[in-house]
Amino acid sequence: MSTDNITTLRQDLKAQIISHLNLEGRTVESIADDMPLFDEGLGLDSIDVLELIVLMDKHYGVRIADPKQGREVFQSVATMADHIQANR
Amino acid sequence: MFIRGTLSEDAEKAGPLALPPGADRRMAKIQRATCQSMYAALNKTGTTSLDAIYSATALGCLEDTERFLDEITGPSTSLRSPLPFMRSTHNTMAGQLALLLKVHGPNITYSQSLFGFHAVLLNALLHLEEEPSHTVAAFAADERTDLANALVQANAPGTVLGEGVASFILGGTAKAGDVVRITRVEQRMITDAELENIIEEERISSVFFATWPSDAMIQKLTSNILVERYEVATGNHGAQTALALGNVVDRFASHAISDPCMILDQVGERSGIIVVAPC
Amino acid sequence: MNSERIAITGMGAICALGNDVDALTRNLIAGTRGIKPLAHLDLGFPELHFGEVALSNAELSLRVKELLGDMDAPLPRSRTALLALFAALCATRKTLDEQDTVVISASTVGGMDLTERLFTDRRAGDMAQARDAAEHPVGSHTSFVADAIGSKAMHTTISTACSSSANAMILGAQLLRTGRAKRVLAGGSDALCRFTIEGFMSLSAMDTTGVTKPFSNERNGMNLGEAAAYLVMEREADALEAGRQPLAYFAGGANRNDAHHQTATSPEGKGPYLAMHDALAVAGLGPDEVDHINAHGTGTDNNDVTELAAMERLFGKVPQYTTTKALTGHTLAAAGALEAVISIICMREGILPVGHATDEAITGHTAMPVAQTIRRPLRNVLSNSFGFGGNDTAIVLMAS
Repeated sequence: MSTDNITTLRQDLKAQIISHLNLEGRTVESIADDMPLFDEGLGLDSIDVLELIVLMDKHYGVRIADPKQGREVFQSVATMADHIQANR
Repeated sequence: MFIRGTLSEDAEKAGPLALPPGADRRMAKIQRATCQSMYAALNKTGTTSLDAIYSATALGCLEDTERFLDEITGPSTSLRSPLPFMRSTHNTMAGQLALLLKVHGPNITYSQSLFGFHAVLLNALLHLEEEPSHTVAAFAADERTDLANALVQANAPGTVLGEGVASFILGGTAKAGDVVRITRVEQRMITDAELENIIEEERISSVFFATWPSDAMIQKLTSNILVERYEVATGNHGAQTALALGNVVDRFASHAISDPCMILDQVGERSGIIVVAPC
Repeated sequence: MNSERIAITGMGAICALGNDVDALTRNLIAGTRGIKPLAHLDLGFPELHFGEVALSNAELSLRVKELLGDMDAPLPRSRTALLALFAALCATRKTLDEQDTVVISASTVGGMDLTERLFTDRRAGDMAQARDAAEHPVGSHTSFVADAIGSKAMHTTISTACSSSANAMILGAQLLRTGRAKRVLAGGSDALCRFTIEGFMSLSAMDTTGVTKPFSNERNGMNLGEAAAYLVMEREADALEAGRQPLAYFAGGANRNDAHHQTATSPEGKGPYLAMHDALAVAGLGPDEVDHINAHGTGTDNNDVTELAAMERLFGKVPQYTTTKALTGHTLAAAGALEAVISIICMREGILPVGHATDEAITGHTAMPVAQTIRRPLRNVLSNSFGFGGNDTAIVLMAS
């Protein structure tokens, strides 16, 4: 996959995360590719993991077999994008 | 028990308590409305901590219930977002408030058509009898949707479904600024004779009706009592009695009334009564 | 306030482990498990296991009519209401003259089994079942129960998810202690329906591999169940005067809030700890005097480890504990009352049933649940019910 596509995917993901999780006031620019999504960083929690799993399934057709895997896949936008590319 | 301060449903004074930024990102409309209402009540009465939260809702979070029902009865086989289901449980509003305000005490939600709020007040009364120094929150909230309204109409033509929220802070001992106290709460089958006795016993001088009773009853009462229908502008719903209570509290505060008054809800053979007296 | 004892003088229950209290007793003694794939309800999910009541709605309706002594009695159509009517009528032993009995019921599902069918029909453009919407509200079934037993007193419904019917019993005791009620019928009902199955699936809370394995390292979720259970509560003096022997005593309970997260309990189990601690205080029992705990034990990752943490912190040496949800499924709002009935049966029969036997405690902890059926006298049981919204309740039942 070309670098442009990776960038687009990451930007798309950021926009989807903001809208899906209703992060009012957040901009795509304010989310760095490597920013931790949980705890410090974006401050997401276990319910958000489930929402992100739904997002991945709905938008990219990628299913996470076990929610416990979730924390690794959803560490950052970069890890999410990597997982999607690997499993699409 | 005592109702702290005065409250009117559109009061929203800026106070020390406010929803933290982003706290409402996962809230449904009815949850937001409830939080706003409760925060306004807390700020208006200068309350910063609570010992319990008692709430009533007849139909709960309808929007989320419908959203989830639509999804599970629809063709989509993709994974489901958990939020609508989570928010559809009736105690979600009271639970949300406990979370935001860190209230570890009792947290009970009642749901019994128009009589849920009576159980709320009764539970608060029991709590404050046992712990007079405590402060508890009591609220009722209901929302309407077009579909729910259509279904209500199908079953009871002419009945319009409404929505609203009303919140109160209650204490077991009087504080400066308190205007009214609730001296009696009941919900059961009450005969006309029993009702008249209660009215006499409690020296009731005005009665507010949500559901207009028989003409005979009105005639019996109007001879020496002010009888009024409280206008629930938005239609029938589980928070209407709570809104009426807010209305009554305002009237006491503005000295429009100064003698004990009764809020009476009658549905079929059952009555809910709340007696409100000045402090 | 009156400090006399609150007696339980009647009980009725229906669940996957038995269609009445007698059957439930036999199955508890025999070590039967009630969790299996659906056999009666057409809800899909053939791969999942449930605690399903072994009767169709038609069969339930028939039994209710028999109890009412009126084969033409108009009945509700929702399964939650039918289960409730059956259990309530069993509990009041068909006296049908319970004018002064306050009814405090509980439900999370209400008439949702009808509402979800309504939505399916609506998609097909068929609104003929709109009248079923009248049974949707969670408090609808309670009115049917109150009318069926002839109650003229207050009736109300608590809806605090999985702690609901335990909270109903606490309110019942308060009303009795303060003389505001003469008698109370407290309990709850929840039927299986697609809404809750799909809901808990969306939260990844269900065990998708088979029967739940609570309090073990292999646990991966719960099995949903359905049930209705009701207990008649009255002041001991009133009961004895009427010639009714206490089956057990409701010694006290406490409802506290974890206030940590909407669906997950805090790691240290703060809410559960407070509920158990304060319930014991109300009951006048020290932690070392507790004979048995009927744990909430849903088998989810979060509940079991946090409940265990709270138990270990409170007790040090945790009393023998079991989760009967491994036998009946998680019956949501009915759980508190159903597990109270089960606890009373356990005290009467001197039995500690096995929920799920495990070889080792959850990693980082020491206390394991009962691994084989134990027969010994029980003087009291602490029963836990923890619901969404951090709603944590513990009640204490004592033998009569």
